[in-house]
Amino acid sequence: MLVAEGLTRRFGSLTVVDQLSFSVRKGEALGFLGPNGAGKTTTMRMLAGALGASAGRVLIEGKDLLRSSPRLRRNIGYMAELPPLYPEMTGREYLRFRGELKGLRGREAVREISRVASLTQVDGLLHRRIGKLSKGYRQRLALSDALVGDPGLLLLDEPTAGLDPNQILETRRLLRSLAENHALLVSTHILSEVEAICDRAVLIHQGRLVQSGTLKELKSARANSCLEIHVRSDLHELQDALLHSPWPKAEVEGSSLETPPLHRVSLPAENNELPVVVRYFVDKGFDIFHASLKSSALDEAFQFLTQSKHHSTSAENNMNLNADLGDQPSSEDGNHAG
Amino acid sequence: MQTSATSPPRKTGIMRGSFVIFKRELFSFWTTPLAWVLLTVFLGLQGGIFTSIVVHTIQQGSASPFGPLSAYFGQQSILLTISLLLLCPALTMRSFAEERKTLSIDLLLAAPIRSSSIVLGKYLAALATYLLIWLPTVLYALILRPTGTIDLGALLTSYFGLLLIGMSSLALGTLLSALAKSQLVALLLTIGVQFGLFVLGLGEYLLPDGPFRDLCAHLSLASMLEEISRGLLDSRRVIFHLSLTLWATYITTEMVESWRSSS
Repeated sequence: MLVAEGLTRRFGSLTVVDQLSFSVRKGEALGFLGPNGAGKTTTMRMLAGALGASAGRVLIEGKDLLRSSPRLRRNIGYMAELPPLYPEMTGREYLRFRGELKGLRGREAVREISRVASLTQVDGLLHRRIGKLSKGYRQRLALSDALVGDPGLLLLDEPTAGLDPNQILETRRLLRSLAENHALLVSTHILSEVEAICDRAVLIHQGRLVQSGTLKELKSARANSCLEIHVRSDLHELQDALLHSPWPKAEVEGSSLETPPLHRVSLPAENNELPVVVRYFVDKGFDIFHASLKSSALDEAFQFLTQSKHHSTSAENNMNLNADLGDQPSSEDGNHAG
Repeated sequence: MQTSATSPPRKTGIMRGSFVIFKRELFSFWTTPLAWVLLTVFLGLQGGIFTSIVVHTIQQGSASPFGPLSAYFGQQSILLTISLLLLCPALTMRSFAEERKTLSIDLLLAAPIRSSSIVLGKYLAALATYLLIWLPTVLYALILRPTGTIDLGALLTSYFGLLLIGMSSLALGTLLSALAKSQLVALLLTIGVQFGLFVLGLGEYLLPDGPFRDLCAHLSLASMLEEISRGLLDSRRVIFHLSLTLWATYITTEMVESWRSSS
């Protein structure tokens, strides 16, 4: 449904998005992860056709978005970050306007407005001016806008920002159900959101793809570099052994009250080093009760992947920033004229 | 939970897309204070000019040999020229600058319509508002009708001339609004360019005979107002204003297209 091929966006000599490639299929929800300023919003704008790419292309159902008729954009429902709605319009007028842009008219438009408003539960407030709505309602109205015309591809930038906990759960349920027969791309830095909605995720940092795959694969990116063993021994003996081991930065945690106590040791080592680690502690006379790759939460993987990449690219990007202070993007990471 | 629409949407052609944008823009003009403030200030000013011309005509005879309406539209009314120089920039300053500032332009750029539809819709809404603001001045002709001083041909030519001036000024204003990132900058840029053209036209009275003086006369807003107030319209002026309108609209469309296409 959506293929991004080598998507790149430069503002002057500052590269905000760099050679990004990924795809989303129909019936799939893809999480688009990255820390603030990673280039998520710029990428979403390029995917929606609101911002041109400096290089690369966006394919929607196999057709190049920029070289095809604007009608191809009917297949895209785009919800921008901090939705820029028109405050002087009522919700109904706004959705009608958006429906008409997508070719809906008359009763057909009225029916569609009722359908999307009911899905996002804004139907009770469609008569009120947008400028007087709360942030949560505006957010849900923007989601309704993305759903108008039932596009096959939904691009949602921070869809639950500003919602209360009940609304967040409702929205996640809705998005999960929409993902069954749509292609869904959810840009966020809220990791629980990705876990609740998405099947796969791509992680970007400083405009570059860091990792992509299923959530399990993403989590194992952290686990691959961390082993966990359970050792029964005196704490001082264990600490001394670790200090003279190849892994002096290993962390000891969760000691039990038994005698001798059971300790959980996390070692910064690669997956294939597991036999070496086990042999080392056995040779030192420790009893090992458990040894495995450390199971990791998505937030740990996120932190690990973005922070480890940070060191390798920050110097380079600092140079770019210094050279481009006169041409910095206006919003999070993008502007219009470039 | 129903999550899919029932029937496929219809086509949105260039004109249909323009009409949707046109409606929204017109709605935005008249549901916010902008158009009402402009209408009030403009009509207050025009009413003052018209009243002073009528009082002058009653007391000392017509200020123009072609009657008081000719004096109103003609160059003797410098205030009309000044209000024209301010009205059009105020109508177009928000056009793109505001949408770019609030990022709502993204919603239009991502929409399934052509860039030309976006530009045309916004431009036509500004033009329609311009005409609606001028509409009440038709009352002046109705007021003077019993005096028998109305030349219908001159009146229609005057309004046609004002339409031409409005078309080119609004097209220029829309282009400059697309260039600027704030309403204020767009307003000042458009006033600056319009005032520059106005001053250039004054060269007609200041320069010695020659091609440059002819060029100034050709561009002169004051001369055009004087001519149309007498029912005269030089085809070269028509071509100039139509060309400026088409050029500015084309460049604006190309700019909008460049935002959404590769760079």
